[in-house]
Amino acid sequence: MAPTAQLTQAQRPAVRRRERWWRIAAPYVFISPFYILFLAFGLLPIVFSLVVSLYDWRGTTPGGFVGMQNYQVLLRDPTFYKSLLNTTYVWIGSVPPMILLALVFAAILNSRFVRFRNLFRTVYFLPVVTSLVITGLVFGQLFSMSFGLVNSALEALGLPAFNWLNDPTWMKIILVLALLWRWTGNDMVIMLAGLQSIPNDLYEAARVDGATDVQSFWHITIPLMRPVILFDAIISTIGTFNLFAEPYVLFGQGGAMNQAAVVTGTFLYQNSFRYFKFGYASAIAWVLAAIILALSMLQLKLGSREAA
Amino acid sequence: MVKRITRRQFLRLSAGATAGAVLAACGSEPAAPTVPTAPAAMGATAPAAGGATAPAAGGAIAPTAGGATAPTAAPAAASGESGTLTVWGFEGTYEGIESQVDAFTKQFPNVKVDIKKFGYDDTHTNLLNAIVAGTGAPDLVGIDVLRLTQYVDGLTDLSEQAKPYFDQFVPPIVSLGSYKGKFYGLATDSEPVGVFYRKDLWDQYSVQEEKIETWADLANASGQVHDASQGKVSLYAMNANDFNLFEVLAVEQGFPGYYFNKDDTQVIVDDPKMVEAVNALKPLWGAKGVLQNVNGGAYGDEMTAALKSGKVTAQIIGAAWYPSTLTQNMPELSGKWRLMRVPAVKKGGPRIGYQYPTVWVIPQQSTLKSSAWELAHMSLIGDGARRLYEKTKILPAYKPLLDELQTKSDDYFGGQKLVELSRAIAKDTPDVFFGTGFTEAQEIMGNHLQEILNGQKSAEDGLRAAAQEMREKLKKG
Repeated sequence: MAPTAQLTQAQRPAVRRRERWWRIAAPYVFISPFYILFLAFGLLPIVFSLVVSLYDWRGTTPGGFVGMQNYQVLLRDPTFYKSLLNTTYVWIGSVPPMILLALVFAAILNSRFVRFRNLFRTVYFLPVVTSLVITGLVFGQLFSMSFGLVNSALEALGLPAFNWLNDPTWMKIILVLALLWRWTGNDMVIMLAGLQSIPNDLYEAARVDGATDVQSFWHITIPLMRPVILFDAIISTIGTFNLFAEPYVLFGQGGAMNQAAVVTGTFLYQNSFRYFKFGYASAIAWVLAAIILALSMLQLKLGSREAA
Repeated sequence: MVKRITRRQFLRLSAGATAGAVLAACGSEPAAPTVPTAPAAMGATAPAAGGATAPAAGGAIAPTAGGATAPTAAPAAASGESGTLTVWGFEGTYEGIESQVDAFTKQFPNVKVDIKKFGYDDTHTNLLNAIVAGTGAPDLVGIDVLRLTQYVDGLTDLSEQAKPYFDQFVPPIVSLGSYKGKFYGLATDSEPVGVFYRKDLWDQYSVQEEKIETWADLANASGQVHDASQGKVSLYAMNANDFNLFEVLAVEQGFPGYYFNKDDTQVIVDDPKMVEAVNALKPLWGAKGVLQNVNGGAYGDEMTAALKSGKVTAQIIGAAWYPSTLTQNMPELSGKWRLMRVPAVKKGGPRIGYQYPTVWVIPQQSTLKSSAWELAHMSLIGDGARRLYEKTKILPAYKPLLDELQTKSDDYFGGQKLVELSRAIAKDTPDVFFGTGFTEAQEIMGNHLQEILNGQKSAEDGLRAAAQEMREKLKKG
């Protein structure tokens, strides 16, 4: 036993050093899986796409360094502006009404006077768990010229059928409807969580002071829900500028007739996975990221100014 | 001088940049430019396979052999391989391969065939992803020939293996499968374009095929059908952004590269001849009774429904695979359909057009290249080609089978010798080719064409704008 004890004593400073090092390192080791994954699947692709955006890289063929040329071409590309315009149209058409509807639905479903609240919450949330592709297909079928339910109803009323999916204005409206149908339930759940965090005492105090339900909604609910609404607006804005599945299924990657439904997501996809222009597509992605960042900052600024 | 960089170099560079950002260390210098890939691997397989499938095997696959098409010379290289041979394909391509799996596995018991069926877009996207990732590519895959140039750096040069069979395929199949002196794939089909029309309806509304020689004649007949049917029937449907129509006009006007010149270096869409052709399209678009802008385009569900119901009487841009759609979706209309040549821009002008066959290619990543070639060979030649035709009605590219089929009349087309006419159209068509950036050029042309047809721009201005956009985006002259 003695030699072992002596050996341990001799090694004691080293062991202490190891233990001290381990005490410092252990927390980092435990949190390292996240950072390793983030580096591999988060930061690396981001940096990679930034580098790629400076090259004319086509996937299989070696790409030449082109500097800022991809960005210059992008700023002259009429399809890019069309996709931005269409996305802005969809953003304005869907995000504000969606937030309003979600807030109203959440307020109603938060009320004690509504029966079967859980059933209604589930029903409103169901579209969120429906496949994006199915949503696109269903809306495509509803508004189909030859087989659509909407045209069948029109014809039953003696009205002529309409080519909904090829009309530039209606194409965007249908896209907005599909988004409202699918995402309002999601926003409603976020709003509901926000509403449930508002203390009931405030409403009771307001009631004692003679406030009506509408007044309580405007003067208590809305101001206290501002951070939630702001969060929802930012998330929805990011979602809209990354929109892909619904317009892709409904109108294809080219945005159909007159490119009326080409949005930034499908424009990016088209350049990367159809034309294999990964350099150009990366430039699109970075410009989009800048636009989304600017919009989010603007929303945050406006939100904080209103709060102040 | 332009500095070239490969995927691996990109990865290395990005990893270096990331490490630099995180560790404040120096990023790695990009390695010296390298040419991607695998001449060694190709060298390892090509000569052996080439020898295995040499003329002896070709000779064994005589036109009369029909079902007995298995190569007599056992491919030594292929028989030495073992494993699972993965095949990717979309509908209308894999059926020929499927028909040969039993015969193939009998010959090569060590190789198991796994056919994965994808949609058209998925097949192409998945192949690119696999090539870019450097792993996961199949051993054999059917792709649209118009996208061939997008993949060539990741594909095996099959010149040696395929050369003995070149004369067994109709033009322009061999030139379509070639790019910059290398050969990448043989096609399952040939794709001349014609007008498919309902003979019964044309008789009913007194439209005679013989009297339709030009696009203007077709436009004139549109009003006739509209009036005679009291507005219930359209002679044809047309989409303003239909670049397929432009492509037919380009070939008719003497541009076999459609949007590009012969060297694939210059954009030709603003050539005065094309301005003339697009001006000829305007009356076709504006004619009375045209069903405009059918959702999904000429080959979509809405169009199929319109043809099936008799609301539209003709598919004016029908490629050689279109009989497959007709026979599968409208068997009740057997005997009522006919095929005619597309009209000409001017009276007496060429009445031709050609679309995009499917080619079987072997990615460089494949470890079973010889076996993959054998399977492709069996499916493209002899019994495989016949079985594909019987199942899909898609016009074959294999000459001996065409020789046999062209003498036969087709009941679905009222006894018309469909193959004979299709082959004649293909024969009159010059050797077309699909240059780099073809799919993007199509999209650009579609966007500008609709502005021209909708009267937002003149043909000259619209085509000039299209040409300018193509030149900038595709980096051509």
